[in-house]
Amino acid sequence: MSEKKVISRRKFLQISGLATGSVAVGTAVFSQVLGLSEKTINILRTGPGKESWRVTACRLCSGGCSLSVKRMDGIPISLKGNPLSPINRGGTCPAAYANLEILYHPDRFTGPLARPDGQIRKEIVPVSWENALSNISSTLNNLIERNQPYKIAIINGDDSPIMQEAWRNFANWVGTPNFFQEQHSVYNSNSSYITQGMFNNPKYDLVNSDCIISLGANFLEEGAPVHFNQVLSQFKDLENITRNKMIYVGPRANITATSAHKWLPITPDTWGTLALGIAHILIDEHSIDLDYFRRNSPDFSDWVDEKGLEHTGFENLIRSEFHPKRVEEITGISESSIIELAELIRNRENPVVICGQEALQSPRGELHEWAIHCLNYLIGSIQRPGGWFFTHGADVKKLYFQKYTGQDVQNLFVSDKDHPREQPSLDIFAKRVEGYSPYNIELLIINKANPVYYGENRRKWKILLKRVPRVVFIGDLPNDTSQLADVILPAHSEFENWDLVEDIPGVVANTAVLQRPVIKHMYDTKSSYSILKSFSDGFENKNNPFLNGDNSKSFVKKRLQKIYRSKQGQLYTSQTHKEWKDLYSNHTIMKISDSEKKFMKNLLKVGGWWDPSYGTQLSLRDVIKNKNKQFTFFKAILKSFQIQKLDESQFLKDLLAMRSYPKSLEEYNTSDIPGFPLTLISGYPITNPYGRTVYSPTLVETMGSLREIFWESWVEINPETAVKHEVEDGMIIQIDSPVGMIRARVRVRPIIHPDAVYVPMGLGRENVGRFTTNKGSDPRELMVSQPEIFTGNTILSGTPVRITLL
Amino acid sequence: MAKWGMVIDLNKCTGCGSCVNSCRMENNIPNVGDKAAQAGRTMDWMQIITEYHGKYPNIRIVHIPRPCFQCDNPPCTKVCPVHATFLNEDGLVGQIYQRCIGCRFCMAACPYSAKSFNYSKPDFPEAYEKTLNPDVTRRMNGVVEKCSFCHHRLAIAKDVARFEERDLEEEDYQPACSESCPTNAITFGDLDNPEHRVTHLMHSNRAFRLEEELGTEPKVYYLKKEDK
Repeated sequence: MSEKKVISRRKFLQISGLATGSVAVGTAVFSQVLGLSEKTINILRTGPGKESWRVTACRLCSGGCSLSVKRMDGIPISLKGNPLSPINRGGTCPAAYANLEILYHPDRFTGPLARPDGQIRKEIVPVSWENALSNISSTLNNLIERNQPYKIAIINGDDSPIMQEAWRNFANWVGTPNFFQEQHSVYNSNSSYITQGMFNNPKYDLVNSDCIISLGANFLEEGAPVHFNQVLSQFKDLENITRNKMIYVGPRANITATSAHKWLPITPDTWGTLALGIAHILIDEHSIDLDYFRRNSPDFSDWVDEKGLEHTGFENLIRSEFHPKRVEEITGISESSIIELAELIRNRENPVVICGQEALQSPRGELHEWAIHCLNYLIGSIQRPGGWFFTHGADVKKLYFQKYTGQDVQNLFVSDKDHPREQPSLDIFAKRVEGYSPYNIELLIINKANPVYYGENRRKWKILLKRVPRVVFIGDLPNDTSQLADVILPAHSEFENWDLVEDIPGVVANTAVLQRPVIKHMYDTKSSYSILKSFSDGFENKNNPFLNGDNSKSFVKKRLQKIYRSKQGQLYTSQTHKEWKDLYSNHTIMKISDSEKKFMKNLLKVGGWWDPSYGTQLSLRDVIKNKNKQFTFFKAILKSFQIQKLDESQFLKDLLAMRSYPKSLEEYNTSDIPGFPLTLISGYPITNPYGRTVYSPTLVETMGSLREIFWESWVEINPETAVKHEVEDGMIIQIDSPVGMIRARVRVRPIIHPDAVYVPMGLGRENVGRFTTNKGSDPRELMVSQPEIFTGNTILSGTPVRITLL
Repeated sequence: MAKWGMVIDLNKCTGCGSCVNSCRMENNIPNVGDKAAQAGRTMDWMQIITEYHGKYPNIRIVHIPRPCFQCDNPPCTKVCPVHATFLNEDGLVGQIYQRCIGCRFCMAACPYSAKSFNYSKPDFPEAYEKTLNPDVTRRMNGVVEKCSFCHHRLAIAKDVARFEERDLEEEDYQPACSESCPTNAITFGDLDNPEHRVTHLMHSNRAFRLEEELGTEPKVYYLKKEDK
């Protein structure tokens, strides 16, 4: 045992005096003379640390929270929400605290790594930046010289709009059509395209609503969770407590359901049917102005096409097929509850029905959103305070990029679409590469993405990555994909990087949240922007037209200059709750009045800019982009599927009113596989957005604390189901699907539909650092490769499963 | 002398766990690892207790965040044989770790189970030593610990106010949990100061205290979750 040193007060003062007065002597001498540790001497020498705060953005989800990071002598030690931010108003979600554990994670990449040339699958070893970059540049040059740039593919997992555009433009510039944006959880909505002819995700003006009916929108955990928690707080303020109502409809009581006034458990994958059941009551009881819709929508009444064929209109389809009694049979929501929902809508001033990821990620996802969109149109909740707003989301991009208009390359990877609204996606990419069709990929650049985890099938992706001769991975930490890369280029951690967070999902206000380094990069890493610039600088005969900053800081600054020059909005300022509410709920128009220099300087202090009026001045007519400027209920959706039948509405009847698939789509039907009586529902809990906090031991320890589960996955089962399957709380059981098997600990809780089981996503990972690798189970292992019928997106809920005792 | 207390609106609490994690970061609460956690030995000073009322499908779920209630008449201080836990000058229940002998009498006496025991030496991975809060001491194994209403923040706030020659204001002193709560469900302040929002809320007709009949005089109030 080491001998303990006891220092008297007098001796302490003597040492302090000596230490401060004799810095030049050096700590080593003190250590020897006084027998104190070097650390103690350093503390005595420098005195207490100097505290400072710096604002930056949280990048763990797309919610746009601004954080204040506490630094001691320039070293970040703690954080809290930035109280000036109108998005999170000083609040944070539990995941935010993972940021520091990610920054200091002991398994971060500290320098470039590569497999030696010619030994493709050998051990990966440290290399210099020069070697790593020149190697990639020569491969890029070689493919371009051979006129085969399409053999380059890029997968980008960075959510930042400016970095997304930078990588997309890089792909355009080298001449490859193979750019894929990794979708984590927030899927793009297509219902606005079907009905209004425009591509925009809706924004929800919940702060002005007095009645929120959420059909599968877990808005307190997804998209912009902290912001909507703030909105909920306002919604439930004392003055609103008797007036406002919130109902959640979903198969599981998640955080949003728990906070709602009422939770209505619904049979999985039937939200759209319920929305149309509500529409039935409103139409049948003439609670809405039917004449208005007959005049203003070509397919509300029965209609005749240009060939003279007669079609059933929306009104008659709803009247004939979606009677509440029938809807009750399909959804499990009682007729009286459906009538109650319709009455609630009818009696409130600003009701809104919202749709979210839980619904969108089910097999009929887009159809649910379409039905909910139509219901909002019927109740007048589009472009109206308290309802849905469509803003010109694309304007954000227009502000700072000239679209590259170089060589036009056919996007071979999505030319033969299997789904009407299919976009280039990871899974489409995997499907094509797996079959070497239409051509081989020779260089795959993966920027901050993890296709092995986010793709639909882990095994398939592993095989696929081994087929690509050169896989380059850019990121700060190892993940399920990086272990298969040939070159690893270490990127700065988010707390070491410059960026901007914009276009926050679901939030009506436009905002730019500044992400700035809170510490100088600790290792031999580069920003993702600098790496991209190095690639483009490596080309022999090309001047890049779009990377217009020397580094990520100047790149961000150029975007901020564009915002400044628009003169719209204002920098974040200190506001009371009432001031925030007034500005936000009135969508107040604000103008920038500072000089550009002052704007930039203050932005660094306050952490962001916002414009609460953005898009709210547009009328319904402004956001209908169809040729005749009319809202169409289902002309486009049927056209998209190229339905050949005379009575096209039969298609919707089959899907929503009968809950069966038309013959042409029977391949999607996995719900009736014999022997798998339960439906798997899944999603990321607020503690683990997109599975990103899995690197943080603290978050993994607290992730399941509400269910009294620690460091492992759990499966939630209804008590009725538990009795039926002879399962008890605390047991570890096996969950099987037609394609996979996992094990998890049972939590018997009355918070889930008896036909469903819930397993959270984000755990059960293969290569996520020393603390959490192989902790828990990954429900993705169970998911049948069943795309959403309209977009082909991987569905996360709806896989048939069974449970067995071990 | 201020009477520091808290009002937690159960109607607004979503059970997200932000208070739990902000408390962990602020107060150097260690992870205990999978085996100890599964054995119920997590060290959280703030815990969320979930209650289910009714039967499926008519279920009502209530999340109850539970810090130390800083009782005015604390049973824990009365049983401590070494005076390691005591009511301090700010009316908060203090804990002197160096004096604690780990007998856990206080844990048994606390009707709210607000205290935790360090079964093993707290393990902070070397890489995360930097993130420890220098204002809060690290506890050793064999001692009891609990929520302090972030008392170190009060000490700093008092110093700042004294330096600026003014009284403490409501915003000067906020514990980490109330500061981080995304729904503003936790309101903190001086229960004796009518200017503070917390005083207004504690007189709400929804306000109640847990196990009030025990006479512990807790300084944490809850606002009842509204009925459906």
